[in-house]
Amino acid sequence: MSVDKNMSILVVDDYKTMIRIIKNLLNQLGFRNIHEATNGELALEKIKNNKIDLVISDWNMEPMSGLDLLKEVRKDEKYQSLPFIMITAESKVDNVIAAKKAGVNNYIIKPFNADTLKQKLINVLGEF
Amino acid sequence: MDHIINHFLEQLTEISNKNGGKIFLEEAEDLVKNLTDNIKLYTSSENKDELYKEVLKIKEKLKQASVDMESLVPNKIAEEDIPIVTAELSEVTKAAENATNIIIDAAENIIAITSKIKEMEIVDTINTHATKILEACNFQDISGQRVSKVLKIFDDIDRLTNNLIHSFDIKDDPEVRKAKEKSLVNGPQLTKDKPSQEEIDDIFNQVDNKDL
Repeated sequence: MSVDKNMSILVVDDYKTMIRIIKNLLNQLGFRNIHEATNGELALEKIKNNKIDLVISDWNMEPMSGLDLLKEVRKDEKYQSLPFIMITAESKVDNVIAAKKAGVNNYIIKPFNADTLKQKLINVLGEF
Repeated sequence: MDHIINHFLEQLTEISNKNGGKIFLEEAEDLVKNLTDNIKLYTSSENKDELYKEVLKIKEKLKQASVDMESLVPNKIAEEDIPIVTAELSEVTKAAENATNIIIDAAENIIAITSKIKEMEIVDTINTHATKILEACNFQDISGQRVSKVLKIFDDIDRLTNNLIHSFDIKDDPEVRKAKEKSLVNGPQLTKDKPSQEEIDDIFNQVDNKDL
């Protein structure tokens, strides 16, 4: 089944500049329906109030981190299979394990390039 | 000898209670001086002289520690230097963020122009380069996080310095402090304090040749 490029993607990061970068890279790949949030709490609201098909989130945010957002999302049966990719500077083994245990679908380390983003999107969504 | 040690401990407790749990350096020096004087009166043998010499060494070390701490000008560090570090690092983050946004604006404009180009090969080449520009802008997020880590460390240093100053009632060595404040090498001023080129030109033009 081919990937619908009109899918709705939520990008979560407390650095607005990083949101711009990710949004532009997604646009380059043909994804244009992008929502934004600057912390986990605002992201959770967007997920509950909109149809979101993919979450791409940073880890280090206040008041709710990306990991806590992931855990909250996975608590709800409705979002058990919502694709969730972490893009973060947190690169210790413990971080990756914690995210995996919490149900993340893939994990990208900052700084990252467009090819890595594309590859992880393919891993999670399928070929496009 | 026990009565000398006990008397020392009683005085120590009295001073600590009087100062709310603190012992100031000068008071510690006086206590040790009293202890050494009392030990000197009490001792008469060679072995006891050795003990007395060791206690004198402690007294000298305390005195030197006091002088050393004053020459570090910890009050200047707490009141001026650490706030400067925090402000400078915040400026770095802000400037990097502003510059990154300008770069991203330019990359977005370049990408937008490709919709007017018919030759797909040229479009692909332009998009490839525009993508590289966006990828490179990742640096700003990482730099910001590194600066935040450094700022947290400075918070801890600030707290430790203040504790040290209050526990030992340390005053800055005035000569050392004056010398550090006189330096002409200060680096760029903070944005809010930075004069304009016109203001610099005015100052420059006001300096009379006879003053040179």
